[in-house]
Formats: sequence, C-alpha cells, structure tokens
Amino acid sequence: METLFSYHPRDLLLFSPRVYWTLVAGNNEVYWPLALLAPVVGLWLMWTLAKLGQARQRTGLAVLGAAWLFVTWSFLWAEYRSINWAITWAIGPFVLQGCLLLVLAGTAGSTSIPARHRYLIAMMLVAWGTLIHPLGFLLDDRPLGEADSWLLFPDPLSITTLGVVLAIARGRWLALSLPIPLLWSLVGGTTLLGLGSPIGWGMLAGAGLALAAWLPLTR
Amino acid sequence: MTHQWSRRRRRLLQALAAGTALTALPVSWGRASPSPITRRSPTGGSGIPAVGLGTWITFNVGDNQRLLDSCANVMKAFFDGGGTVIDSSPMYGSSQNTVGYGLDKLDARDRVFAADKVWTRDGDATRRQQRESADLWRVKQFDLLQVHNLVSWREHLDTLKAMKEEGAVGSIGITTSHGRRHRELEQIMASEPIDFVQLTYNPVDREAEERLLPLAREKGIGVIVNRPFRQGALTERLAKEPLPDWAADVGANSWAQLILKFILAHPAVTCAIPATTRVDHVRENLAAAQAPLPDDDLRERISDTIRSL
Repeated sequence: METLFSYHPRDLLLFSPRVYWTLVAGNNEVYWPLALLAPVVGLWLMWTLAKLGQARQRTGLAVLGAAWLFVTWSFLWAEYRSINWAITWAIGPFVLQGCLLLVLAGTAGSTSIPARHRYLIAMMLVAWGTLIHPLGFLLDDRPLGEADSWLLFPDPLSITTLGVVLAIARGRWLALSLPIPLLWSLVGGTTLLGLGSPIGWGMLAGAGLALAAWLPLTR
Repeated sequence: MTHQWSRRRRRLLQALAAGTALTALPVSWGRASPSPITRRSPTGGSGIPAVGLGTWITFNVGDNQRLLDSCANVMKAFFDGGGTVIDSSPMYGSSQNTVGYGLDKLDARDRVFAADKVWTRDGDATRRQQRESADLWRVKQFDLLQVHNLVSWREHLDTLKAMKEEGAVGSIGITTSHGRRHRELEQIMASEPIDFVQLTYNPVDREAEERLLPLAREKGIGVIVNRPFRQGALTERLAKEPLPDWAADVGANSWAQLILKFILAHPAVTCAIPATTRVDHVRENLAAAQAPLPDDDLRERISDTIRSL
C-alpha cells in the first residue's frame, strides 16, 4: 500500500483542475479587462524598480498592497473558498500582507538599488510574476481565458511581491513582508503541480531564489 | 505486495466465494434488466446496488451553475441506471451542496441511499455537523453516517450509536482510505456494533483481503469500497494498454469494468463507490455490476495483469 512518501500532490487536493481553472476563467470575465491591464501594470512596476525613487516606490507598494486586498476579497473569499475550505486559513495572512504593504508604502523612504545579485533576482521575479507566469496556460493546453494574472490571482501576485519587496524593503520591513508571499509561493506551486500544471515549478523556483537572495542579507 | 495463495487456502476461498455468489445473486439475475446487482444491507431492508457514486473531488464544483448542472446530469444517469448509494463528507468542499442541488433538481430524495460522514475533531459536534450536512444534502436524515478517517471516532461513534437507537440515522459506520490505520480499524470492527466499514480496495491495493474483509464477513459488516481506481490514476495508466481478450469472459468491456468486477466479486464487498464527472462513465460503472463476476482464479489473473502493466 502507499506510504506517505508515495502520495502525489494531487492526492492532497480537494478539487479538480477543471473546477479550479473554471473559477479562474470566471473571475477573468467578471473583472475584465483587469487581466488585460495586468501585464501593462507589470511593466510599469518593473520601470518603477528600475528607477527607484521615493514616490515611485510608494506608488508601486500601494498598488501591490491594494492587489493583495483585492485578490483576498475577489478570489480567495468569494470563489476559491467554496471549493477549498483550507483557504479560510489564508484569508488573515493575505489581509495582513496587504496592510503591511500599504503601511510600507506610506512610510518607505527612498532606497538605493540593492546588491546586484539581489536586484537581478528581484527583477526576474517581477518579470516572472507579471509576464511569464500567466503564460502557463500554453503549457497546460488551456484556453487564454484561463490565464492567471498577477492583479487577479494569488500565485503570480506572490511571486511579483517577492521581487518588489526584495528590491525595495530593507531590514525589518523585508523580514516582515517576505514570509507570507514566500509561504504562498510554496503552497501555490505545490497546488499547481497537483493540478498537473508545470508552471508550479516556476513558483517553487521563485520561492527558492527569493530565499537565497534574502538570507545572506539578513545576517 | 505479492499475494501467494496456498492451494488449500485458495480452495477454501473458492468455496466461500461460490457460496456467497449464491446468496448475493442479483435481483435481476436471469432477466434482461440492466439494473445493477444488489447486495444485502447489514441493517435489513431492500438490497443495496453494488455500484454507488462517490463525490470526492468530482462534485466539489463550488457555485458554478454549469458544473452544478453537469453533476446533476451524472446523478440522473446514476439513478436512471438503478444506482442508489451516494457517498459524501463535510471534508469534500462543496460536494454535499452539489448532491443536494442534484437531489432537489431531480426530485430524487426517495431514490437515494444517502451516505455521509462526520468529520470534525470536536467529539461533541456530531449532531450539529449532521444537521449542517443534512441541510446541504436537503434531506431529513441520512441512511448511513460514518466516522470519517477515524477522526475522534470514540466520541462520534458513541453519539452515532445513540442516534441510531433514536431512529435519527439508518445505519452507522467508520471509514479509512489509502490503506491507513487498518490495525485500529480492525479493532473497531471487532469491538463496536457498526453496520458498515469503508476502505480502499482494488486489484493493486489488496491489504484489506488479509484481515478486514474476512472480519467484515464474519461480523456481518457491510463493506463500501472507495478509491476503486486510485482516484483515476489506475484507469489513466491502463488506458493505453489493450484490454485482454479474457476480459470478455466476465463481460468487461473496459479496464474500469474489469477492476470493478474484481472488487465486487469479493464476497465481503457490499458496493464500490467510484467517483466521476461523466455520464458515460456512470453508465459504464453501473454496467460492471452485472453477472458474470470473476472467480478466484480470474481475480488473481486480473490483479496480476494490472500489477504487471
């Protein structure tokens, strides 16, 4: 008989790929054209990181914080919770993350560009979350309507957030604002793999990169 | 795990199987009716069709109207094909509500054998959760309530026994899956007055044959088999393999039917509860619950073949 180690990630899921991607497609329809705007806003976010300055940083963090609160309400609470009771446990941390980013947006001073390797990783993560991750539908042979973009769904939002806070936040703020998106990247990546979506590997790799970029800097 | 049967043991089991086959002969035996064979209920009453409908994952569709209607169509095909047993749990996301939606839409409350579970660590919450589940199912009470995965089983089972005495539930049981906690399950089966046990059994996962299934027969406990296809992984793996010619000897037209016939041919099994989202699969599953069923030699051949592929 199977042992614990022989479980496939899908054994841990309560729902099927069909149902999950139907929820995604439904949210894309309800909030259209946000899915179309998401990559554009993503490019703007990368521009703000390339030209670090107090006003731009604050705006970027505010957009990110608002996105966390919006995704919590529009997807986690209103949709995802109906097929996954465990999501109830994620609501609090997601709201907390949104609030943290908004407070950081209100208080952040101007920071210089971080160490080169950390900056590169941060930009890669933002590019991955805003531009590459939504293309996962191509790997799964799903329709375009089921693409999950960072302004609407928690997986690409987490990866994008890892990049932004690595580029902007320092010290205590970085330590506060990194764990929740880091944890969700692991949860979301494993879930996507359970759904048979190889883009989940990208999330796990993103979490690993963020952790690697963060740990040496916290010493 | 390999299964080597001594000649004496094999003969004994063959004799048992033959005897049971007679007692478990389908109501529809000898008729052209496509109704599935039925098995005796441990609590009496009418027989239980040997193929039921599981709802794990497949019926967890949230509030999406199209998917809810799709599940209702599956339920319609199930009832039209003579099925009655539907199994769900509070653990299964929105599955209970989906079943309730289907029962409402099809006006099928009098056609269902409603099997649900209690799943909470709070041992005092049995009745509250049962009421919540019944509301979601849109039924007054359940035909069968089971303690899910042995969670707080002592407390829940005490309450379930009292509820059965009061007539608030038809029968009671306990469940496990993936072959977990068989030793503890065996102790419960031996010491508690349960009517049903639910466990995983299929041509690949056969541990239950060693102690649990013989004990169920001895104690007159009904056996509901979950994960007959290992959540679809088994049939997916076999899909690219040609069905052996000898499958026709037991009237199996697909791997799914061959697997179900393997399960249903065990004399201790009351019913299997495959889950599906497809109407054609429901019909295929129900059609597997027809004579002939494989004898012991053929069952070994089915198991050996599937393990080798």
